Amino acid sequence: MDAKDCEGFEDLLVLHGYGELDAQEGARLEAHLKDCPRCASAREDLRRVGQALDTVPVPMPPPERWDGLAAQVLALAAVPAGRRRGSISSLARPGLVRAAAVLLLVAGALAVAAGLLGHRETAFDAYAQAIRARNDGLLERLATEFPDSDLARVARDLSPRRMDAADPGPPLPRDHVVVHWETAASYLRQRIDLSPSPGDRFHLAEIYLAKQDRPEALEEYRAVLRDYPDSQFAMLAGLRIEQLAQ
Amino acid sequence: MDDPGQALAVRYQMGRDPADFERLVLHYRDRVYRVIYRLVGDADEAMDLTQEAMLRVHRSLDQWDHRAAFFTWLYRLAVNLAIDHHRRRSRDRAVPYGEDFPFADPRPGEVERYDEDEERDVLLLRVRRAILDLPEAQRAIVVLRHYEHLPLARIAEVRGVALGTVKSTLFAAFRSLRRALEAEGKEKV
Ligand SMILES: [Zn+2]
Repeated sequence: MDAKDCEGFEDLLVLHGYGELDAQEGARLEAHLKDCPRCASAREDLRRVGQALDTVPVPMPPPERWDGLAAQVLALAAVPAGRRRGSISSLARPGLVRAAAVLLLVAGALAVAAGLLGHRETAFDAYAQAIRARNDGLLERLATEFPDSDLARVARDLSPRRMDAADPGPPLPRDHVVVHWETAASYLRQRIDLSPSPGDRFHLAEIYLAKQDRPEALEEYRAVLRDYPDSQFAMLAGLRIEQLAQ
Repeated sequence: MDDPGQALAVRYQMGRDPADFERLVLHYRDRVYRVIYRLVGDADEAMDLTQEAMLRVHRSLDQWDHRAAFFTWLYRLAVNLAIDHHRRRSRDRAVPYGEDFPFADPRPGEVERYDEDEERDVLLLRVRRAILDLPEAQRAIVVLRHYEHLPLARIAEVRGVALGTVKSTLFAAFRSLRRALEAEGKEKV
Protein backbone atom coordinates (compact mmCIF):
# COMPACT_ATOMS: atom_id res chain seq x y z
CA MET A 1 0.00 0.00 0.00
CA ASP A 2 1.65 3.22 -1.03
CA ALA A 3 1.48 6.50 0.86
CA LYS A 4 -0.86 8.07 -1.69
CA ASP A 5 -3.62 5.58 -0.95
CA CYS A 6 -3.11 6.11 2.73
CA GLU A 7 -3.86 9.83 2.44
CA GLY A 8 -7.37 9.03 1.25
CA PHE A 9 -7.79 6.61 4.09
CA GLU A 10 -6.72 9.17 6.64
CA ASP A 11 -9.60 11.39 5.58
CA LEU A 12 -11.96 8.45 5.72
CA LEU A 13 -10.78 7.84 9.29
CA VAL A 14 -12.32 11.18 10.31
CA LEU A 15 -15.66 10.22 8.78
CA HIS A 16 -15.42 6.75 10.29
CA GLY A 17 -14.83 8.24 13.73
CA TYR A 18 -18.10 10.15 13.44
CA GLY A 19 -20.05 7.20 12.08
CA GLU A 20 -20.41 8.89 8.70
CA LEU A 21 -19.22 5.99 6.53
CA ASP A 22 -21.64 3.48 5.09
CA ALA A 23 -21.14 -0.18 5.97
CA GLN A 24 -19.23 -1.02 2.81
CA GLU A 25 -16.77 1.88 3.11
CA GLY A 26 -16.35 1.14 6.80
CA ALA A 27 -15.48 -2.48 6.11
CA ARG A 28 -12.98 -1.46 3.42
CA LEU A 29 -11.33 0.95 5.84
CA GLU A 30 -11.17 -1.59 8.67
CA ALA A 31 -9.57 -4.09 6.30
CA HIS A 32 -6.95 -1.54 5.32
CA LEU A 33 -6.24 -0.65 8.95
CA LYS A 34 -5.41 -4.28 9.74
CA ASP A 35 -2.59 -4.26 7.18
CA CYS A 36 -1.38 -0.66 7.51
CA PRO A 37 0.46 0.43 10.65
CA ARG A 38 0.68 3.96 9.28
CA CYS A 39 -3.09 4.39 9.09
CA ALA A 40 -3.59 2.53 12.38
CA SER A 41 -1.34 5.06 14.04
CA ALA A 42 -3.15 7.91 12.28
CA ARG A 43 -6.33 6.56 13.81
CA GLU A 44 -4.73 6.77 17.25
CA ASP A 45 -3.67 10.36 16.55
CA LEU A 46 -7.19 11.30 15.55
CA ARG A 47 -8.55 9.62 18.63
CA ARG A 48 -6.21 11.75 20.73
CA VAL A 49 -7.32 14.89 18.93
CA GLY A 50 -10.92 13.97 19.65
CA GLN A 51 -10.11 13.42 23.32
CA ALA A 52 -8.28 16.73 23.46
CA LEU A 53 -11.34 18.48 22.01
CA ASP A 54 -13.48 16.84 24.67
CA THR A 55 -11.46 18.45 27.47
CA VAL A 56 -12.53 22.00 26.61
CA PRO A 57 -15.35 23.07 28.94
CA VAL A 58 -18.07 25.64 28.31
CA PRO A 59 -18.65 28.02 31.24
CA MET A 60 -22.43 28.45 31.44
CA PRO A 61 -23.82 31.91 32.27
CA PRO A 62 -24.88 32.61 35.85
CA PRO A 63 -28.63 32.16 36.36
CA GLU A 64 -29.15 35.81 37.31
CA ARG A 65 -27.99 36.82 33.84
CA TRP A 66 -29.74 33.98 32.12
CA ASP A 67 -33.20 34.05 33.67
CA GLY A 68 -34.34 37.34 32.22
CA LEU A 69 -33.12 36.61 28.69
CA ALA A 70 -36.51 36.36 26.98
CA ALA A 71 -37.81 39.46 28.76
CA GLN A 72 -34.69 41.42 27.90
CA VAL A 73 -34.94 40.43 24.26
CA LEU A 74 -38.59 41.46 24.03
CA ALA A 75 -37.85 44.72 25.80
CA LEU A 76 -34.96 45.40 23.42
CA ALA A 77 -37.15 44.52 20.46
CA ALA A 78 -39.84 46.92 21.55
CA VAL A 79 -37.76 49.99 22.32
CA PRO A 80 -34.61 50.74 20.35
CA ALA A 81 -36.04 51.05 16.83
CA GLY A 82 -38.04 54.11 17.90
CA ARG A 83 -35.28 55.49 20.10
CA ARG A 84 -32.65 55.15 17.41
CA ARG A 85 -34.61 57.45 15.18
CA GLY A 86 -34.49 59.87 18.06
CA SER A 87 -38.20 60.17 18.58
CA ILE A 88 -40.08 58.21 21.13
CA SER A 89 -43.30 59.86 20.01
CA SER A 90 -42.95 58.35 16.54
CA LEU A 91 -44.00 55.13 18.22
CA ALA A 92 -47.33 56.67 19.13
CA ARG A 93 -48.25 58.13 15.78
CA PRO A 94 -47.65 55.77 12.89
CA GLY A 95 -51.22 54.60 12.72
CA LEU A 96 -53.45 52.49 14.84
CA VAL A 97 -52.18 49.14 13.68
CA ARG A 98 -48.57 49.95 14.40
CA ALA A 99 -49.47 51.54 17.73
CA ALA A 100 -51.50 48.53 18.70
CA ALA A 101 -48.63 46.23 17.76
CA VAL A 102 -46.20 48.27 19.84
CA LEU A 103 -48.60 48.21 22.74
CA LEU A 104 -48.92 44.46 22.48
CA LEU A 105 -45.16 44.09 22.45
CA VAL A 106 -44.82 46.32 25.46
CA ALA A 107 -47.50 44.43 27.30
CA GLY A 108 -45.87 41.18 26.24
CA ALA A 109 -42.45 42.20 27.45
CA LEU A 110 -43.87 43.30 30.75
CA ALA A 111 -45.89 40.13 31.12
CA VAL A 112 -42.85 38.00 30.44
CA ALA A 113 -40.79 40.11 32.81
CA ALA A 114 -43.44 39.79 35.47
CA GLY A 115 -43.52 36.04 34.99
CA LEU A 116 -39.76 35.74 35.18
CA LEU A 117 -39.45 38.12 38.08
CA GLY A 118 -42.14 36.09 39.77
CA HIS A 119 -39.66 33.25 39.95
CA ARG A 120 -37.28 35.36 41.99
CA GLU A 121 -36.86 34.17 45.48
CA THR A 122 -38.41 36.96 47.47
CA ALA A 123 -41.71 37.03 49.30
CA PHE A 124 -42.67 40.23 47.58
CA ASP A 125 -42.16 38.88 44.09
CA ALA A 126 -44.26 35.85 44.90
CA TYR A 127 -46.85 38.18 46.38
CA ALA A 128 -46.87 40.53 43.43
CA GLN A 129 -47.20 37.62 41.06
CA ALA A 130 -50.11 36.19 43.04
CA ILE A 131 -51.91 39.50 43.15
CA ARG A 132 -51.26 40.29 39.53
CA ALA A 133 -52.67 36.95 38.52
CA ARG A 134 -55.53 37.26 41.02
CA ASN A 135 -54.52 33.79 42.05
CA ASP A 136 -55.09 32.83 45.65
CA GLY A 137 -53.43 29.48 45.04
CA LEU A 138 -50.21 31.44 44.58
CA LEU A 139 -50.95 33.32 47.78
CA GLU A 140 -51.04 30.03 49.62
CA ARG A 141 -47.78 29.03 48.05
CA LEU A 142 -46.30 32.28 49.26
CA ALA A 143 -47.35 31.46 52.80
CA THR A 144 -45.69 28.06 52.48
CA GLU A 145 -42.50 29.21 50.78
CA PHE A 146 -41.87 32.31 52.86
CA PRO A 147 -43.57 31.40 56.16
CA ASP A 148 -41.70 34.08 58.12
CA SER A 149 -42.36 37.07 55.91
CA ASP A 150 -44.89 39.77 56.75
CA LEU A 151 -46.49 39.31 53.39
CA ALA A 152 -47.06 35.64 54.00
CA ARG A 153 -48.89 36.50 57.20
CA VAL A 154 -51.00 39.06 55.37
CA ALA A 155 -51.66 36.62 52.58
CA ARG A 156 -52.70 33.97 55.07
CA ASP A 157 -55.09 36.37 56.81
CA LEU A 158 -56.62 37.75 53.68
CA SER A 159 -56.92 34.62 51.64
CA PRO A 160 -60.42 33.18 51.85
CA ARG A 161 -58.82 29.77 51.66
CA ARG A 162 -57.38 28.67 54.96
CA MET A 163 -54.11 26.83 54.65
CA ASP A 164 -55.47 23.79 56.46
CA ALA A 165 -58.99 23.84 55.04
CA ALA A 166 -60.16 20.98 52.88
CA ASP A 167 -62.65 23.29 51.19
CA PRO A 168 -60.91 25.63 48.75
CA GLY A 169 -63.63 28.26 49.13
CA PRO A 170 -64.59 31.01 46.68
CA PRO A 171 -62.07 33.00 44.61
CA LEU A 172 -60.50 36.13 46.03
CA PRO A 173 -63.06 39.00 46.05
CA ARG A 174 -62.20 42.25 44.32
CA ASP A 175 -62.06 44.20 47.60
CA HIS A 176 -59.41 41.91 48.92
CA VAL A 177 -57.35 42.47 45.83
CA VAL A 178 -57.44 46.22 46.40
CA VAL A 179 -56.46 45.71 50.03
CA HIS A 180 -53.62 43.53 48.80
CA TRP A 181 -52.34 46.30 46.56
CA GLU A 182 -52.34 48.76 49.45
CA THR A 183 -50.53 46.28 51.64
CA ALA A 184 -48.03 45.47 48.96
CA ALA A 185 -47.35 49.13 48.27
CA SER A 186 -46.71 49.99 51.91
CA TYR A 187 -44.55 46.90 52.34
CA LEU A 188 -42.54 47.88 49.29
CA ARG A 189 -42.10 51.45 50.43
CA GLN A 190 -40.65 50.17 53.70
CA ARG A 191 -38.29 47.92 51.82
CA ILE A 192 -37.19 50.72 49.53
CA ASP A 193 -36.51 52.94 52.55
CA LEU A 194 -34.31 50.25 54.05
CA SER A 195 -32.48 49.26 50.91
CA PRO A 196 -33.47 50.74 47.57
CA SER A 197 -33.41 48.50 44.50
CA PRO A 198 -34.56 48.96 40.91
CA GLY A 199 -36.79 45.89 41.11
CA ASP A 200 -38.69 47.14 44.12
CA ARG A 201 -39.13 50.59 42.67
CA PHE A 202 -40.37 49.17 39.41
CA HIS A 203 -42.83 46.97 41.24
CA LEU A 204 -44.04 49.90 43.27
CA ALA A 205 -44.71 51.78 40.05
CA GLU A 206 -46.58 48.74 38.76
CA ILE A 207 -48.72 48.79 41.87
CA TYR A 208 -49.59 52.45 41.35
CA LEU A 209 -50.49 51.62 37.80
CA ALA A 210 -52.71 48.78 38.95
CA LYS A 211 -54.40 51.20 41.34
CA GLN A 212 -54.83 53.52 38.32
CA ASP A 213 -52.77 56.22 39.98
CA ARG A 214 -51.00 57.40 36.83
CA PRO A 215 -49.06 60.40 38.22
CA GLU A 216 -47.53 58.34 41.04
CA ALA A 217 -46.80 55.49 38.66
CA LEU A 218 -45.11 57.80 36.15
CA GLU A 219 -43.01 59.35 38.88
CA GLU A 220 -41.79 55.94 40.01
CA TYR A 221 -41.04 54.76 36.49
CA ARG A 222 -39.06 57.94 35.88
CA ALA A 223 -37.18 57.40 39.13
CA VAL A 224 -36.18 53.90 37.96
CA LEU A 225 -34.97 55.32 34.64
CA ARG A 226 -33.05 58.09 36.35
CA ASP A 227 -31.53 56.17 39.26
CA TYR A 228 -30.87 52.80 37.59
CA PRO A 229 -30.31 53.59 33.91
CA ASP A 230 -28.36 50.36 33.34
CA SER A 231 -30.76 47.89 34.89
CA GLN A 232 -33.23 45.80 32.92
CA PHE A 233 -35.94 47.57 34.91
CA ALA A 234 -34.96 50.85 33.29
CA MET A 235 -35.83 49.34 29.94
CA LEU A 236 -39.15 48.13 31.25
CA ALA A 237 -39.85 51.45 32.93
CA GLY A 238 -39.08 53.22 29.66
CA LEU A 239 -41.60 51.01 27.92
CA ARG A 240 -44.24 51.84 30.51
CA ILE A 241 -43.61 55.56 30.17
CA GLU A 242 -44.03 55.34 26.42
CA GLN A 243 -47.16 53.28 26.88
CA LEU A 244 -48.62 55.81 29.32
CA ALA A 245 -47.83 58.68 26.96
CA GLN A 246 -50.03 57.18 24.26
CA MET B 1 -38.26 15.97 13.29
CA ASP B 2 -39.43 15.25 16.84
CA ASP B 3 -37.67 18.26 18.33
CA PRO B 4 -40.30 19.84 20.61
CA GLY B 5 -38.66 23.20 19.86
CA GLN B 6 -39.97 22.91 16.31
CA ALA B 7 -43.57 23.00 17.54
CA LEU B 8 -42.75 25.89 19.87
CA ALA B 9 -41.21 27.85 17.02
CA VAL B 10 -44.26 27.29 14.82
CA ARG B 11 -46.57 28.37 17.63
CA TYR B 12 -44.60 31.51 18.28
CA GLN B 13 -44.44 32.27 14.58
CA MET B 14 -48.22 31.99 14.29
CA GLY B 15 -49.36 33.54 17.54
CA ARG B 16 -46.50 35.79 18.68
CA ASP B 17 -47.43 35.05 22.26
CA PRO B 18 -44.59 36.27 24.55
CA ALA B 19 -45.10 33.23 26.76
CA ASP B 20 -44.24 31.04 23.75
CA PHE B 21 -41.17 33.15 23.11
CA GLU B 22 -40.07 32.60 26.68
CA ARG B 23 -40.48 28.85 26.22
CA LEU B 24 -38.62 28.96 22.93
CA VAL B 25 -35.73 30.86 24.49
CA LEU B 26 -35.62 28.47 27.43
CA HIS B 27 -35.58 25.53 25.05
CA TYR B 28 -32.73 26.74 22.84
CA ARG B 29 -30.66 29.25 24.79
CA ASP B 30 -28.12 26.75 26.15
CA ARG B 31 -27.49 25.17 22.77
CA VAL B 32 -27.20 28.52 21.04
CA TYR B 33 -24.88 29.81 23.74
CA ARG B 34 -22.65 26.71 23.59
CA VAL B 35 -22.22 26.93 19.84
CA ILE B 36 -21.46 30.64 20.01
CA TYR B 37 -19.05 30.21 22.91
CA ARG B 38 -17.16 27.52 21.05
CA LEU B 39 -16.87 29.84 18.07
CA VAL B 40 -15.85 33.06 19.84
CA GLY B 41 -14.11 31.66 22.94
CA ASP B 42 -15.35 34.33 25.35
CA ALA B 43 -18.20 33.85 27.82
CA ASP B 44 -19.36 37.47 28.02
CA GLU B 45 -19.38 37.90 24.30
CA ALA B 46 -21.13 34.59 23.88
CA MET B 47 -23.86 35.80 26.26
CA ASP B 48 -24.31 39.05 24.36
CA LEU B 49 -24.37 37.25 21.05
CA THR B 50 -26.90 34.75 22.37
CA GLN B 51 -29.12 37.67 23.29
CA GLU B 52 -28.59 39.13 19.82
CA ALA B 53 -29.39 35.75 18.24
CA MET B 54 -32.65 35.54 20.18
CA LEU B 55 -33.50 39.10 19.19
CA ARG B 56 -33.00 38.11 15.56
CA VAL B 57 -35.20 35.07 16.06
CA HIS B 58 -37.91 37.35 17.38
CA ARG B 59 -37.49 39.87 14.56
CA SER B 60 -36.89 37.55 11.64
CA LEU B 61 -38.91 34.47 12.49
CA ASP B 62 -41.34 35.34 9.71
CA GLN B 63 -38.51 34.67 7.28
CA TRP B 64 -38.27 31.06 8.43
CA ASP B 65 -40.18 29.27 5.68
CA HIS B 66 -40.15 25.75 7.18
CA ARG B 67 -38.10 24.37 4.30
CA ALA B 68 -35.39 23.73 6.87
CA ALA B 69 -36.09 22.52 10.38
CA PHE B 70 -36.28 25.39 12.86
CA PHE B 71 -33.10 24.39 14.64
CA THR B 72 -31.23 24.28 11.34
CA TRP B 73 -32.41 27.82 10.69
CA LEU B 74 -31.48 28.82 14.24
CA TYR B 75 -28.03 27.22 14.07
CA ARG B 76 -27.37 29.00 10.80
CA LEU B 77 -28.34 32.31 12.36
CA ALA B 78 -26.20 31.70 15.46
CA VAL B 79 -23.15 30.43 13.57
CA ASN B 80 -23.22 33.33 11.10
CA LEU B 81 -23.60 35.83 13.90
CA ALA B 82 -20.66 34.36 15.82
CA ILE B 83 -18.44 34.11 12.76
CA ASP B 84 -19.14 37.69 11.69
CA HIS B 85 -18.48 38.92 15.17
CA HIS B 86 -15.29 36.94 15.62
CA ARG B 87 -14.00 38.06 12.26
CA ARG B 88 -14.66 41.71 13.10
CA ARG B 89 -13.05 41.38 16.49
CA SER B 90 -10.00 39.56 15.18
CA ARG B 91 -9.49 42.42 12.78
CA ASP B 92 -9.88 45.00 15.54
CA ARG B 93 -7.72 43.32 18.12
CA ALA B 94 -4.25 41.89 17.89
CA VAL B 95 -5.06 39.03 20.24
CA PRO B 96 -8.22 37.09 19.49
CA TYR B 97 -8.57 35.61 22.96
CA GLY B 98 -11.11 36.78 25.49
CA GLU B 99 -10.37 38.02 28.98
CA ASP B 100 -11.92 34.90 30.43
CA PHE B 101 -9.01 32.88 29.12
CA PRO B 102 -6.91 32.93 32.25
CA PHE B 103 -4.11 31.11 30.53
CA ALA B 104 -4.18 32.92 27.24
CA ASP B 105 -0.90 34.14 25.90
CA PRO B 106 1.51 33.21 28.65
CA ARG B 107 4.38 35.63 28.52
CA PRO B 108 7.79 34.23 27.57
CA GLY B 109 9.23 32.36 30.50
CA GLU B 110 5.91 32.11 32.27
CA VAL B 111 5.22 28.58 31.10
CA GLU B 112 8.17 27.19 33.05
CA ARG B 113 6.62 28.38 36.27
CA TYR B 114 3.55 26.18 35.94
CA ASP B 115 3.67 23.29 38.38
CA GLU B 116 2.30 19.87 37.53
CA ASP B 117 -1.25 20.76 38.54
CA GLU B 118 -1.22 23.55 36.07
CA GLU B 119 0.12 21.43 33.28
CA ARG B 120 -3.37 20.26 32.49
CA ASP B 121 -4.43 23.87 32.11
CA VAL B 122 -1.55 24.57 29.79
CA LEU B 123 -2.65 21.64 27.66
CA LEU B 124 -6.18 22.95 27.76
CA LEU B 125 -4.96 26.31 26.57
CA ARG B 126 -3.18 24.64 23.68
CA VAL B 127 -6.31 22.82 22.60
CA ARG B 128 -8.38 25.98 22.84
CA ARG B 129 -5.84 27.88 20.89
CA ALA B 130 -5.64 25.18 18.23
CA ILE B 131 -9.42 25.41 17.84
CA LEU B 132 -9.52 29.20 17.76
CA ASP B 133 -6.65 29.29 15.30
CA LEU B 134 -8.66 27.32 12.74
CA PRO B 135 -10.19 29.37 9.93
CA GLU B 136 -13.83 30.15 10.82
CA ALA B 137 -15.32 27.77 8.29
CA GLN B 138 -13.28 24.88 9.68
CA ARG B 139 -13.99 25.78 13.28
CA ALA B 140 -17.72 25.98 12.59
CA ILE B 141 -17.77 22.48 11.17
CA VAL B 142 -15.71 21.03 14.02
CA VAL B 143 -18.06 22.67 16.53
CA LEU B 144 -21.21 21.45 14.82
CA ARG B 145 -19.90 17.94 14.20
CA HIS B 146 -17.78 17.21 17.24
CA TYR B 147 -19.58 19.16 19.97
CA GLU B 148 -23.12 19.45 18.66
CA HIS B 149 -23.15 16.00 17.04
CA LEU B 150 -24.88 17.21 13.91
CA PRO B 151 -24.63 14.83 10.95
CA LEU B 152 -22.54 16.24 8.10
CA ALA B 153 -25.58 16.42 5.81
CA ARG B 154 -27.31 18.65 8.35
CA ILE B 155 -24.18 20.77 8.70
CA ALA B 156 -24.24 21.30 4.94
CA GLU B 157 -27.75 22.74 5.34
CA VAL B 158 -26.73 24.94 8.26
CA ARG B 159 -23.73 26.29 6.39
CA GLY B 160 -25.47 26.44 3.04
CA VAL B 161 -22.69 24.51 1.29
CA ALA B 162 -22.38 21.17 -0.50
CA LEU B 163 -21.79 17.99 1.51
CA GLY B 164 -18.47 17.52 -0.26
CA THR B 165 -17.34 20.94 0.91
CA VAL B 166 -18.28 20.11 4.49
CA LYS B 167 -16.23 16.92 4.27
CA SER B 168 -13.15 18.51 2.76
CA THR B 169 -13.36 21.35 5.30
CA LEU B 170 -13.59 18.85 8.13
CA PHE B 171 -10.57 16.94 6.78
CA ALA B 172 -8.57 20.15 6.60
CA ALA B 173 -9.58 21.05 10.15
CA PHE B 174 -8.44 17.71 11.50
CA ARG B 175 -5.15 17.88 9.64
CA SER B 176 -4.52 21.29 11.25
CA LEU B 177 -5.60 20.16 14.69
CA ARG B 178 -3.44 17.06 14.48
CA ARG B 179 -0.45 19.08 13.37
CA ALA B 180 -1.00 21.79 16.01
CA LEU B 181 -1.41 19.35 18.87
CA GLU B 182 1.46 17.12 17.75
CA ALA B 183 3.78 20.10 17.31
CA GLU B 184 2.83 21.41 20.74
CA GLY B 185 3.43 17.98 22.23
CA LYS B 186 6.90 17.72 20.70
CA GLU B 187 7.81 21.26 21.72
CA LYS B 188 7.19 20.30 25.31
CA VAL B 189 9.59 17.32 25.34
ZN1 LIG C 1 -2.67 3.19 5.20
